[in-house]
Amino acid sequence: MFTKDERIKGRDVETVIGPSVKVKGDFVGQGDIIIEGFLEGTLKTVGNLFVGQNAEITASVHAKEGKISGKVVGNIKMSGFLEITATAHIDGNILAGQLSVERGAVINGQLSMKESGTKVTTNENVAA
Amino acid sequence: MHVYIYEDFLSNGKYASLLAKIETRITDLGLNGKICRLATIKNYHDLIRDEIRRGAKTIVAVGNNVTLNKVINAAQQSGVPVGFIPIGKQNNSIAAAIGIEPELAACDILSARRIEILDLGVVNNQFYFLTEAEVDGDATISLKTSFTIETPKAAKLKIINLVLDSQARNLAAFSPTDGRMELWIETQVSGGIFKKSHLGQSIFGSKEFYLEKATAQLILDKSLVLSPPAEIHVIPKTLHLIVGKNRNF
Repeated sequence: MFTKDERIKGRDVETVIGPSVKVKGDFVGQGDIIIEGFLEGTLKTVGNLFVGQNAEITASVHAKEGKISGKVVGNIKMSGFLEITATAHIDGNILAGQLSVERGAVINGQLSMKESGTKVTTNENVAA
Repeated sequence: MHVYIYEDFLSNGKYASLLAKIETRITDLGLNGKICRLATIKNYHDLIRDEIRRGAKTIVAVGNNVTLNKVINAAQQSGVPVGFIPIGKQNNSIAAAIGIEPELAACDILSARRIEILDLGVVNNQFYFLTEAEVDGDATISLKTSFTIETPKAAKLKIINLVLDSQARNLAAFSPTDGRMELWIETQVSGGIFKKSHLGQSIFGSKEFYLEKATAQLILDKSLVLSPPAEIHVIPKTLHLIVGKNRNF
């Protein structure tokens, strides 16, 4: 869940998928996206992505930058900075420009940094 | 010439004194013109369009949300600026959103003539709205996109061009000049056994929406009630509206 401050900062927010709302299909956005509900399919945006603690995403995800606190099943691609918080649970490969993983986060998949292309781990369970 | 459209309820004697003051203020500001009373006229559409044809410089709605919606429906796409003098507090929520002070103070805003060119929503290519189309009842709304949205029962749905709801306004940037509208969904979220339930909000932007179920009603600008099916789309930059500096966009 995001704090009020984060939301107010996000006046560029284009789409909010609130709690108990489910979106299915190919979702393409031009601005920032906040997800606190459910998404199935694919998600692409040129803006930032914020995934709340109770959100559940079953989709491949492309965004500029992001903060993930919920559950994601699918590959994640961020051209910029990706912050994974303690409550995040990710089943899928991650490719990001910069990465921060908080203690307690669960990641099952490959972590790759975009610039170096170096794989940090391969097909292993990571509990940060 | 200014043309003033007086709403039906203003024929009630209790408004006589207030209207006299407004008319005096309008004359002092050099904005006097023709007064048309909707109480005696059934076809306001033809009336307003005739006045535009005769060269009206500004059409001013005097009344409430209903009056403004009537004037917008008749004057849309004419290029003639629309003004608004809200009377009373009942059903006058649009005034604050466009920065118009009530009653006498609105005359000064009219005189300042700060004009914004705004988008309008249109339902079935016939009924126009400035602010929002609220769905009353169970309904399915689809967007012409590659995804579907499933909402729980008892969700509150609105298609917003110009936002009135302060809670929604805090969540995202709404603009009546961006060539799109937002579908706003409010749902009740259960907080579990020991926690209070709270409201969740969702927002999806689009240029077109389709309201399917016939059991719901669509309320435009908190005044005009329509029945589905309804195809709703945005017409960008079409309404010339006189606004105040305290508008919310």
